[in-house]
Amino acid sequence: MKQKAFFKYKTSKILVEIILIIVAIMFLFPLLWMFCASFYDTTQASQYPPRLFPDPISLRSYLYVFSDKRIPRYFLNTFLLTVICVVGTLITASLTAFGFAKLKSRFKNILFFILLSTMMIPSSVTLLPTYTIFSKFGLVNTYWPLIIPSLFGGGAFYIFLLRQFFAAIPNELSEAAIVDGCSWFGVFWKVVFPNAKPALIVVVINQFVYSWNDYFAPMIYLQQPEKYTVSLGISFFKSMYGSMIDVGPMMAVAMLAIVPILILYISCQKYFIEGVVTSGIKG
Amino acid sequence: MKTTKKLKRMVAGVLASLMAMSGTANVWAADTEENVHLSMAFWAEQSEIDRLDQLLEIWKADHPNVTLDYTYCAGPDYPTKLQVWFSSGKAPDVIRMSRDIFSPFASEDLFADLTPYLEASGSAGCWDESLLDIFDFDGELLSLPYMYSNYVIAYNKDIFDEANLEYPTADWTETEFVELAKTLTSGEGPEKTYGMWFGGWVCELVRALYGEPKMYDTENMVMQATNNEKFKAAFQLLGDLHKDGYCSNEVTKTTTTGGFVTGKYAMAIAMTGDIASYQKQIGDNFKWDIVELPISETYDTRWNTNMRLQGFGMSKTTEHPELAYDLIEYMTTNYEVQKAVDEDGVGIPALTEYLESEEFKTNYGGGVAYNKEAFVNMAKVGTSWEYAGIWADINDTLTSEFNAYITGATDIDTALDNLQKKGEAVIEAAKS
Amino acid sequence: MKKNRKRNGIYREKDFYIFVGLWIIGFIAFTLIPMGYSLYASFTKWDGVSAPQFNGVQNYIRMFVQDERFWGSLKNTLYYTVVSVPLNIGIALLLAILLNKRLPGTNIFRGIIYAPSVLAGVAVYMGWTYLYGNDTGMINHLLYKIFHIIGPNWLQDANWAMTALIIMNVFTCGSVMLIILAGLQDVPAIYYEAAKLDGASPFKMFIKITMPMLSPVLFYVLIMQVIGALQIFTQPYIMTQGGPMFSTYTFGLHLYNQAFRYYDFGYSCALAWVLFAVIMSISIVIFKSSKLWVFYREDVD
Repeated sequence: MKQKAFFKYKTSKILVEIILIIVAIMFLFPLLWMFCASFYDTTQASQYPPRLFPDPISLRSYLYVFSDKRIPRYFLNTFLLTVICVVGTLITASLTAFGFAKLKSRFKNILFFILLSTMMIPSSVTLLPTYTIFSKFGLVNTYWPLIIPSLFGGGAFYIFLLRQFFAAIPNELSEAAIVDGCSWFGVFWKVVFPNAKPALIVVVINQFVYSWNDYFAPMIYLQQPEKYTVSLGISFFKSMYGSMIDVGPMMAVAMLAIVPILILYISCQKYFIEGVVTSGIKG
Repeated sequence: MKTTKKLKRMVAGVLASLMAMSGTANVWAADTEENVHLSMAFWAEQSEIDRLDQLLEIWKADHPNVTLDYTYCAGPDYPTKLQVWFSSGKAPDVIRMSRDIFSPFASEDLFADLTPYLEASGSAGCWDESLLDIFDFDGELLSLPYMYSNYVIAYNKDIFDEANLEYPTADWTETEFVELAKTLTSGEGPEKTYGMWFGGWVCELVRALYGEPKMYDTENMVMQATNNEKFKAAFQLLGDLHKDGYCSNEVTKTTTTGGFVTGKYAMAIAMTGDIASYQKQIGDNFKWDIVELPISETYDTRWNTNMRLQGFGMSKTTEHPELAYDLIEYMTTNYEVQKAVDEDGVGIPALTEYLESEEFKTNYGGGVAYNKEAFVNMAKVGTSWEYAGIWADINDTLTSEFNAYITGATDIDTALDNLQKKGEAVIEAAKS
Repeated sequence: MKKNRKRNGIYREKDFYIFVGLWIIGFIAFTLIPMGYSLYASFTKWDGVSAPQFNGVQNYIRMFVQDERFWGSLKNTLYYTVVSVPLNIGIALLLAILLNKRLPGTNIFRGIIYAPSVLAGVAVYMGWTYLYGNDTGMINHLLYKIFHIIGPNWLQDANWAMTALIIMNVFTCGSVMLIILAGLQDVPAIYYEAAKLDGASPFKMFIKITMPMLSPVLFYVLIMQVIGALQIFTQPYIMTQGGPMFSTYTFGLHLYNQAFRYYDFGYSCALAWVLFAVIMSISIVIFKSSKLWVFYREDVD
């Protein structure tokens, strides 16, 4: 009896593993193609029959990209900008989410509803008026329009997510701490914040990716080429005088842009495991 | 406590970076006693940027008390940037413009009339009259010509040789063209060789292939899709070429078939900017050359091409009109600047002096020799087409109807009818 | 009695505002005011360059009565949302469950599945355009080589273009999967252990423990995905420009075209407000329904 159960257990494990491998290959494929395309010569992307691996392997795309002396500057700019936005969002979104999740007010529900509805506003609506506001304050051609949203909550998406996670943490803990003389900020910092690590990681990664890839806001607000971000840098590699788009350089820049995100992701991996451990204890 | 300290340090670091990144707060910095600030905007592609940097350095060296702030963005974003600049009231002094995006801005009194400056400087004869006419809006000259690009037909000599056919010459007719397109199409499926490649440009050509009356009259805001014999003939001709399989359907422009350089097309529409790609990507694979668009016997005119004329204009609110004009003149009349345009292969320079020089005639962008004159000749049958405002709306409808015709979803009269009705509706809404 | 009063006493109104205040300020300055302006603009004729001119409800009349593309794009957008959102969430849920088993290689799989959702932007969509090529694209090539199916001319065929976009979107379900995974890992292991002792089957555990525990997370993910899907713009803009023949013409694209290509900013603002109303209505429906199926742990304690 036990042997049968063990066998069943083993086969289901193998089955799951196979499914995961197939799925992983499928998901990996576009990325792999793009990686290969960054090494194609000028005609391979459109050849028939299509071949995945570059033949010959050509570094022309990367050479072309690095021939732009501003590329390293773009990376630096984008990195600083992104880090600031991530820290800003992390702090302000969790503070706001804490308020909504743990504290009381007469207007809480109305404000929460308003919060949610801000997620539903198409951003192009507010583009021109927002630009005019920033322009009147002389903030165009600075990074402020890109940073300021992160300093005021970072967007309803993250506040909503964190609020859901904070709400799941039992109130007894926070109330007990208050009775013991802790301030609400102390509760936030010591009780709620540490216990929502998986959600906070999601916020960090998502905000990083968003800020790193953001194209429209930098395009609208930045004017000095020295301030440009990586996503803007990519846009100059599209050919628009001719009919054909040269995909190589675009893929090369895209590959370079992925590297920091992957680094961030790999370094955040351990927090996921930590999250598992704490919730196991909590249970 | 330790974590609070860490947090404090992190916040301090963030604030410090914030300060470092703030940079200049003003959009365009203000003038000081010694230093005048001039601002300039253009769109650019990677290959142009470094060269433009150098050329502008030369101008800056000539004007030591001027700080030139210039900004550039990718071409497709340029109209958006124009919108935000103008709507916030802070436009740059010198603005690069293209005829096809000019319309929405021309009527809004945003660009300064350059006529008085031009007359004072005596440069009027530097370019062909027709080029100056293109930037004439209601009697005001809103830009000086910098460069242009238009269409020719490129042909694959190897395919012609194999079929034992004569290469097209400048006076070839439409009938000959259609014959060639049909004869040179062979094969099936992925191995097929097409007689002709239009890509997405077919929807531009069809608008005014035989000249007036065009698909719409932008000056009088009238839709002319129906009761327009020439337009219907153009629509039918180009549509049938696709329908009958002599060209591939790439109407939506986002295709990846590779175009002429793959060697699968006997002929293809080529823009001025394509030549650089041809030189780089074709190499020794096959021999090619270009020729002007064919002549229609029925309508006694060569096929019209889009004249994408680009120039530099001046914002009406500039505080330094003379200086701005000086820069504009530099870009449009300086021999070296115009030569650089040619060497980059992004377009045909507008300066007559350079066009007539030996350097222009022999500069092939570092590749094989080709019939460069064709582009200059095509400028004579050039029409400026619209890409902005309500005309963009109608253009989109045309693309959809044309695609419907090619795929057999509608017949030609329904397509033209739809086009007419929708166009009229859009124009009506705009007039009210 | 005393305990209750003390309990209510620690919840002072002003503490709430200390925490939420920043967001409120930002909301008023950067959301409310621009929105107010755009609402005003929706009743004007404005090309985005010169001053707006008031023209009453004309924009709205034109939208509902004369603008075919409005209805077309609305239909396309709703179709896209209704198909791609459940698809994404379903696949993400499945993958999260499989990954939660912590089999060997989980970390690598998680990273690989998440990676495409991080790849956004023009370059990536251009790459997908190449993958979807007719004869030269890898997708059709592989379909033929492995399954002997001749793939359609994806982005050029009005019947397949939208499907192509939906399939491409599935590859970005990694971020959803990550959130669901975080939620799965938050479920106390002790619940499962207790259920196993009681002899519950894996399926029953899934229905009675996992799903309810996950419901706040699923609710969040559903709302986010729906809101995102209803606004979809960049992919059709880059890959098909709404074609062929407006088959992938989404509301977001219509909005963009009206503002930045047709220079009718006033009308674009009107469209944006209608989109906002649509998103709001659908969200309210989802919210109201949530009372039936979303379960917050605090409600039990």
